[in-house]
Amino acid sequence: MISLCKTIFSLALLGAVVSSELKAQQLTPDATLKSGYGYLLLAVESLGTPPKKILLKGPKVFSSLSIDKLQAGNNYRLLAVPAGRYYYSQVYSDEEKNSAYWEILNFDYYIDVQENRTSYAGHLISEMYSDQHTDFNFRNRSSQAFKHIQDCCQLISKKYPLIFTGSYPDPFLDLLVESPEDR
Amino acid sequence: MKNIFAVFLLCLCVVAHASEQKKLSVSHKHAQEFFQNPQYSSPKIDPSGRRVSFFEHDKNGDKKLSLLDLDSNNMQVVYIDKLDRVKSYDWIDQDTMVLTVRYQEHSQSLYKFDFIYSDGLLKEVKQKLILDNAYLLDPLSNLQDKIAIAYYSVGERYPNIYKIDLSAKNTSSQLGGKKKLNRLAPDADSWLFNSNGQLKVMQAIKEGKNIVWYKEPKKGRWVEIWNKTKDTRFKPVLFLEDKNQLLVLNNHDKNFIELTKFNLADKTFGETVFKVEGRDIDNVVRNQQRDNILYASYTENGIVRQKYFTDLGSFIKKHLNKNLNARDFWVVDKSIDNSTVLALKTNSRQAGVYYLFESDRVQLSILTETKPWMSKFQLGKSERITSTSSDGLEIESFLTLPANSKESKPPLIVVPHGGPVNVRSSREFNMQTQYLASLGYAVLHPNYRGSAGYGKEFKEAAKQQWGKLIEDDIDSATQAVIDSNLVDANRICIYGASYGGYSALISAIRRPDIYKCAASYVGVTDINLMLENDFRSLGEGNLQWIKTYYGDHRKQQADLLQRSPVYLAKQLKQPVFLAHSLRDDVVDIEHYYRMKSELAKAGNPATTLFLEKEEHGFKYLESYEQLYSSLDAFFRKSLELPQPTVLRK
Repeated sequence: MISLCKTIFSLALLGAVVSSELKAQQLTPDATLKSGYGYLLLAVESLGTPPKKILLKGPKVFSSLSIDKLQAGNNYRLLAVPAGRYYYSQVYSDEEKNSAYWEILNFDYYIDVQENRTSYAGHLISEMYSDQHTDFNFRNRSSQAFKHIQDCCQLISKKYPLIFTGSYPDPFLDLLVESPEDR
Repeated sequence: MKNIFAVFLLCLCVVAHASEQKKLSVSHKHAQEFFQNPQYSSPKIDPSGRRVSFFEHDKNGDKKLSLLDLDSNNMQVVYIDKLDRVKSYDWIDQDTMVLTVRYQEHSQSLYKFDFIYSDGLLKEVKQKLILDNAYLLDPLSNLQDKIAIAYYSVGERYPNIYKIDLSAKNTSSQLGGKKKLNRLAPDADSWLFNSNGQLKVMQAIKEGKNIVWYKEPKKGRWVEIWNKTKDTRFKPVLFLEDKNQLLVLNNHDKNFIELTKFNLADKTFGETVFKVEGRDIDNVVRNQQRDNILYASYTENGIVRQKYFTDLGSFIKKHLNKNLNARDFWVVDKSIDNSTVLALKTNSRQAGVYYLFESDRVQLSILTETKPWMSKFQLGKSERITSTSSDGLEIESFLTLPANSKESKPPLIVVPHGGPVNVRSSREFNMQTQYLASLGYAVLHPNYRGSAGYGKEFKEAAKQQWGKLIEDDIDSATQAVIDSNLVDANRICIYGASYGGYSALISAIRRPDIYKCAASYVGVTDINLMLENDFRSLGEGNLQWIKTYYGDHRKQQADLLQRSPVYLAKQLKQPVFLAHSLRDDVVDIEHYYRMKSELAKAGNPATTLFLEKEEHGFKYLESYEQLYSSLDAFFRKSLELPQPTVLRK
């Protein structure tokens, strides 16, 4: 009986861990956020071969994220997630399980998601030309993030304004939303 | 019937081609004709002085490595490089060459070419891969079949240094740990060998520091002999074995860079070997035997000059100065015994002519022109001008006037260089300047504070002067040209790349009375963004240097915003041209997007150009064509100039 309970508990735990990695494209942006939630705008520019999957480590044990189906050029994902800090952690070059991945957690590429805001901290630039020539960068392209949000999700951006939450203050988004008469 | 159809198709093709050509503007067609790769490049002489090697670039983009036999005048192609992969080559001896071949950006290999001759004719070229992930450090001319290489193991950032025997069958067996010349040595990025091929000195510039190590002969230990900020130049150039000294380029405790001796035993400076009053020594080239300096170079009145240290100097004076102005010459390569010398003659109006001097025949002959098509155009003549900036600092600039400037006052394009620190403009031949001059523009290149070659104090005067005294310097140069009455003062635009792009935008904001339009290519538009975003991956030591020169945006954000064109876009009323490259990893494309968006919001939308393949600068000829023809169209529209006419001979 005890061993059966153990098995059931293990399976339940495994299920929880597996399901904890949320697939970004499964989330549909909603105009209303739950309490303690904010929108996270992820942006990935892919140069060379697009990554198969990118993982982010969330603020809580079961709040990791993954994004896939990335294409060459710019890729955006808008996700409703619990507020907190999200780190880019791994970039997979192959869909297969146990395939090689690039560990980028220590690069310190993170986004602080604030409650009731749309948070953006930079574009992850993935350059995957070959195993010898792979590089990752994190660049603040908030003008492009703003344009994307304006084009795709005006309702959300009105209700939950886009803010820059990188590791340093950048007043550009404030300037962008000012009308010329305000200045 | 088939023939008629073929002729019809041919006609269609010709008409289509003609219509495509017709669509191009005059300035674009001119740019296509003007911006071409040199017909011949990288000429070298084999150590015996009997063969000249060079790359020949054909119109299909193929690069051919060729040999010219000076005895028979026979020329043979030894390798056709269709993909532009051969980056450099070096003669090892008169029958052997080593080529560095780059397959990808971070992957290069070394190849050996053995030339087999019969009856004076090249019969066979034996090619052999020496090593992947390696490059040649020193051909070690005094040692037969030996070369020094830098080899990268997988995943390693700093290379291992080895001496390789080219005559051995197997190269990889020569890479054992014990054979590593920098075994138990600190990581470095430059290495100096003595005339016996022994690694003696290593240097690293990292974390804002300049560190130099010397290998003690008795204990074989690496001893640190220099460790100071990279602002103080200390560059070992030659190891003087018998005196246990180094020759170093340095400006320690002095304003200008000199060539001095440095005693290794007590780490003190000795006598000055060469200096030029009021100028930095730019560079030193050693002879093949690595036991003497061939020449030291410096810049005087915008032209690079050489001071020769061997009997080559008197040789040049005696032979080359007879009929030609020797000051315009510099020695490109020579045979070991000085019997054959390859020299390049170049100046502001001459792209370059290679001359060959053979002393046994007492014969000077023209080998080839680098850009022979330039002779079709009337090129501009450049002159040095000086001005006094707002704080009294003297600024040297170079003004190029178009050939027709006496007929009417030309419009002026002011072109501040990039950098801003440790870069400079010169009066050497410049394709971009001459393209503009051939379309009737005068071009001004100011060497504002921070420019290289003018000493430490001049460089340090540029600290945190973005949008301030640097631009005052540029304005003073422009004003001096206006005062000289050589240009049309009502038709002045400012254009630059990188820092020059920033300078163009901020200058137009500061002085709308002078600059009637501004053009920026890969320019910085937001200093805060540059400091936090573009410099993110730099180490702490480099960031300290950047804070000193550019400012600390955490503490000075408000001040830096007041000097960032993005935040001042509303004040920019003149026409603006913005161009950027998608692959720019120095100044991120966000600078372009931000400026474009703010100008549009302010009701002054920029004329824009986006170069998808390009990086920070110019890697492709098409980029020159697109950018410069677009600039001409922009300047003409902004300054209300007539349609372009190319100044031809």
